[in-house]
Amino acid sequence: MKSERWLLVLIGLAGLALGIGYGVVGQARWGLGSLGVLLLWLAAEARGNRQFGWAGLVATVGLAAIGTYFDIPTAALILAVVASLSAWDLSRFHQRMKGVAAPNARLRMEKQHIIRLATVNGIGLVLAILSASIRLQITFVGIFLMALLLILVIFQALMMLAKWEE
Amino acid sequence: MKSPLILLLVLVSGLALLGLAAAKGAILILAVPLVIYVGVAVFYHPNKPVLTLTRQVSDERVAQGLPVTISLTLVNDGTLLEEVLVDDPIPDTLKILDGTARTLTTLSASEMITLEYTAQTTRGAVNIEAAQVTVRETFGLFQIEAFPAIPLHVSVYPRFSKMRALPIRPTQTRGFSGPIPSRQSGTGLDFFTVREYHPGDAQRYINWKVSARRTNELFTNTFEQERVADVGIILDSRYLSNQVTQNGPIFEHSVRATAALADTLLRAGNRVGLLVYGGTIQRVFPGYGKVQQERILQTLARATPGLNYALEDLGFLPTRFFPSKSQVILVSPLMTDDLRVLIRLRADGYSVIVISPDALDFEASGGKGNGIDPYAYRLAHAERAFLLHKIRRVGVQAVDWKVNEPLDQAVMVALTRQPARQRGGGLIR
Repeated sequence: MKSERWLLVLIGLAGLALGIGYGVVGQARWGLGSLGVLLLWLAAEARGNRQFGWAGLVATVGLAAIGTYFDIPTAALILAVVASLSAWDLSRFHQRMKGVAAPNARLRMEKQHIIRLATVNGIGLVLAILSASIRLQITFVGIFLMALLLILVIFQALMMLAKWEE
Repeated sequence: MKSPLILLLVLVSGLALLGLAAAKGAILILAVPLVIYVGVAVFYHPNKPVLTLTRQVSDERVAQGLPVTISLTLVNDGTLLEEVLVDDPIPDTLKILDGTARTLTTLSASEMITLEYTAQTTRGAVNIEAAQVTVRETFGLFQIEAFPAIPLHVSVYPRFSKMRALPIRPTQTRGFSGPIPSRQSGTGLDFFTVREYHPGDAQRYINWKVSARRTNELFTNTFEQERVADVGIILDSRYLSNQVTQNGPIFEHSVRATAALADTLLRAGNRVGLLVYGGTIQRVFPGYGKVQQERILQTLARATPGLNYALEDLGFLPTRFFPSKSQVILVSPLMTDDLRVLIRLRADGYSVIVISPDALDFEASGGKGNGIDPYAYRLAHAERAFLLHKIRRVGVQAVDWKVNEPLDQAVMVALTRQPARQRGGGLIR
């Protein structure tokens, strides 16, 4: 299926972005490690094992976060995160579709899903790259207040989720 | 990961906190695509769906092994639903032959989908109370589940072969004419006895040979009245006597035999009752006709072997359930202690027939890998043969039924070959 090929391409893209990024800053071991982790994810997906998509996403985001300490170009890290997010999403989509999608609805759903995913992640990619060019000076108090606000937002989100579950 | 939304929230919070703690904007920027992804999912999150579901079934009563077609129609009366998973929660006993009971699709406003599947099931009742409908936005982060009640009740009756009329001779029959010889003279077809001529007797019934031996006396042939009878069928559903073998449960054969017997007896116009004795006692009070057959089949559809220590032997058999001096048919693989109860039934005046599916033969017919020691088999077989012999000695008609043979054949051979003294009216020794 077309979108399944896209899934594998996206994992490969995330791996390459991280690998090249780490390679550029002279961190070959981290680069090879990143490629290894994403190759495992790629192999699992290629064999139809969709249970480890979440681990692939977490690993990519974690490696991207670590990459910021080695001053890897932000665009490469954002690309890796967006590609892995898209791959994780497609993996879950195929898991949901597997064996239950009505044949006539399958193509329609797949097309609709890919269009939205491409739009949303394209916007995410552009906005993230644009944000990288913004430079702000924030004081410690400002950071502290933002952290407090963040904790409050997380708490509210969790409360909302609990309410949603009910 | 069970909840992808929680995973994303954890990632976003982790990146944000790490970015703030390390005062690194690049880490915060990594969270931007994730936040936008979640934001779009929140924007499109599904509302409570407005759906109309209807269900149709090809037949609400079906014989075991025959397919039944079930269709589920869903109409979206609300707005666009990006992902709808419709799942008809079928029980494990239902085996789908064609179609599917689960589908994922997208539904525009007023759009309709139909889920149709053909399934086969084992004997029993299939009850589905509600379907499961799960609605998600296209990223699958938010979902709403609904369980609209669209009950489905299908009774799966035992499948049985038609039998010829049973040659039963209960001590007492009922007042209506039927196929059972009633041991009383009257209108009938079979010769009964000779009596003195009464004025008004038809001339063609005068027995001239007997009359020629006497002077000035005439004798008339009388015929045996044929009436309907009361028949009580007891289905043994005790767990201990119905063990499951490699070939499956022998109880299924007992159930089919009971259904076939009830069918043939009711077709002949008899009044038939049923007692399922095992884990519980289930009764169908004696009755006539097709309605009674339906009641019996419904009870048989639900019958399962059960373990109940109070009902381990037939000692608590509620014999009063059957009219006195009626015909009782016990369908049971038999246990050694059952002889005592059969003697008691005979002593109470019942005419008793035992139809015993041969569990030994049933298990042994599993092939070479059945693990049965040939000596043990011979001993068990001899024990069973001896039990059947003792049962016949007390005036009970016993049918040793090898379940791979037609029941009709086994019954006819066994019930027509036995000497008269061992039939219904035989002596108890």
